[in-house]
Amino acid sequence: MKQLVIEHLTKSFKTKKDVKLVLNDISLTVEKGDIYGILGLSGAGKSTLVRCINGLEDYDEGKIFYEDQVLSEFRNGKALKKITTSQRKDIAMIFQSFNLLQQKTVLQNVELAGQIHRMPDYQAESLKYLELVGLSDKAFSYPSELSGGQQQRVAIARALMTKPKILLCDEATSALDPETTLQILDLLKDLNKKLGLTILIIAHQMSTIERICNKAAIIDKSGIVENGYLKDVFLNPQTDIAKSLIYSNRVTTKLSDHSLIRIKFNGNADTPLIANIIQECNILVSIVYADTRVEDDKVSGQIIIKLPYYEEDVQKLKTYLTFKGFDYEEVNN
Amino acid sequence: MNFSWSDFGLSIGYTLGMVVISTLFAYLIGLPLGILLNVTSKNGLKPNKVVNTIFGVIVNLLRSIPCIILVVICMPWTRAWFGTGIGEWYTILIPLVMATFAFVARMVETSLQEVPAGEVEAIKSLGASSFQIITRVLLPEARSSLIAGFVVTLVNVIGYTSFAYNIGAGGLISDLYRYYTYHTGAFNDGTYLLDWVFWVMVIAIVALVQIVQEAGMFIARKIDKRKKVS
Repeated sequence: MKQLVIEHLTKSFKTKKDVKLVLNDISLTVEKGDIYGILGLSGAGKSTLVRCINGLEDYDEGKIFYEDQVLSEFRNGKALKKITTSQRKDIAMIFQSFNLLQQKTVLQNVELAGQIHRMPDYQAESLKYLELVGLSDKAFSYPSELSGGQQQRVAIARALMTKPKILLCDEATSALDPETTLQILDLLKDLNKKLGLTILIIAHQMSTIERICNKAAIIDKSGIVENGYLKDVFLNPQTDIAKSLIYSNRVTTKLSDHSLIRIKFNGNADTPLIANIIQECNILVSIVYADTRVEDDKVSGQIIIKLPYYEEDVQKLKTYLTFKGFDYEEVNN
Repeated sequence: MNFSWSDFGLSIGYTLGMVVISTLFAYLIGLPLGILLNVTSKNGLKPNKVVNTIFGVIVNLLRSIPCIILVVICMPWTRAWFGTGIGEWYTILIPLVMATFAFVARMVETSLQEVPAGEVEAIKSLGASSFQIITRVLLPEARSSLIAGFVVTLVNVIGYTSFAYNIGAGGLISDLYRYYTYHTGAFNDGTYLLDWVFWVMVIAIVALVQIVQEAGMFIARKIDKRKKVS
């Protein structure tokens, strides 16, 4: 079911000197239950995109639908419709800097979300969500007494108070250490499963997105350059920016004088491929990059190896890979 | 001119009355005005250049008029409201309020600016109205800074009560000046009268300022739950 549809969204920032296009004709469809990753380098416009969704920022052209209703619509920089309060309740957001109120306790921070909407049972609900994020024992602490990961958990509890259908995460783990990042991502995945929460994650690192997302879009120079199921984006990156985000930059630049071949594993990463190549084809290969990930209990991944020196060996290798049913491509620099 | 303890007590009472009442009214006008200036500013909740400029100019204008001029300007107004323009402790109230509320407005505006924009955005994204953001985010989050501003205002107003001398409205500072010049002449010709009466009055004024300052800042620190930078 289509839950959030963005159509031809365009936005530019005007400064005194010139106009800078930040989002250029963005269209995106998010289905219910998706964990959608939006990946891009800093300044690519991805944060601006989510801020346009929940109305923290206006845009110039385009339309956003939420559950078949128009969420907001702009033409020539004028609002034809803006997000309503009840729609805001459905679309919650967490931030890179957590943004908890510093002068309120953890519990008061979470309660505030309920008080804003005059929920009669806000006290009980607050305790329930604090328990869900595992911070019941910190209810009477102040944010300044908590670690970054704990503060983000409080922010998540606060965001859940309005019973949202969609959670926007704007670089929500960028300020956290790797271990805490994984905990927060796992919590988000858990919420996605338990509450059926649709999640949009903005990140500048592939590692954040590949952990939990089922779909991903890559934004570069104000536009979406790749979009689709994470598996496809991950295994078949088309654009340079996508490739550089997915494999480490060093591989492709350092070895630019060698010919490389990229072999994709699609759920068959548990076969001892390299050992087989060496044994059965009698070719020595060196691995320059390898990565695996687990999705739906299947191991998939990719490996980049240096091509053999002799052309006949190259042919032998390719024949072997085709025979064994592996998907591969030559990587030219 | 002789000193009596009962007159001394009375002039402390007048000073306190002037300070408390004029500060109260200055905040009744200045607090909403400061909120308005903050909300309508460029990065505020509801940017409005026209409103912001109009009230900004009014505030600047009032702040640029010296207090002694305000005392004179307000005299007909005081006479209309209180029946007399001079000679009673309450005749200084209107000029004090006029001199203070614009100052309060700027103070409040600056305090509210200190609230991180991210906190406001987070609550906005929950669906809060502008009114809710003011009452539940801006004012409570800025409370420590607001109290610090309140302390500065009080000390300022204590200083302003010296202008009560010019219209015979009395009070501690006014009486100190009166006593001093009575015994040494209006112009300082090198005679210093530093008797015990002088010291009693000076100590009373210093103590008043000290108490307000220290107690106020103690409360401001006590209720601040932000991370202390040490």
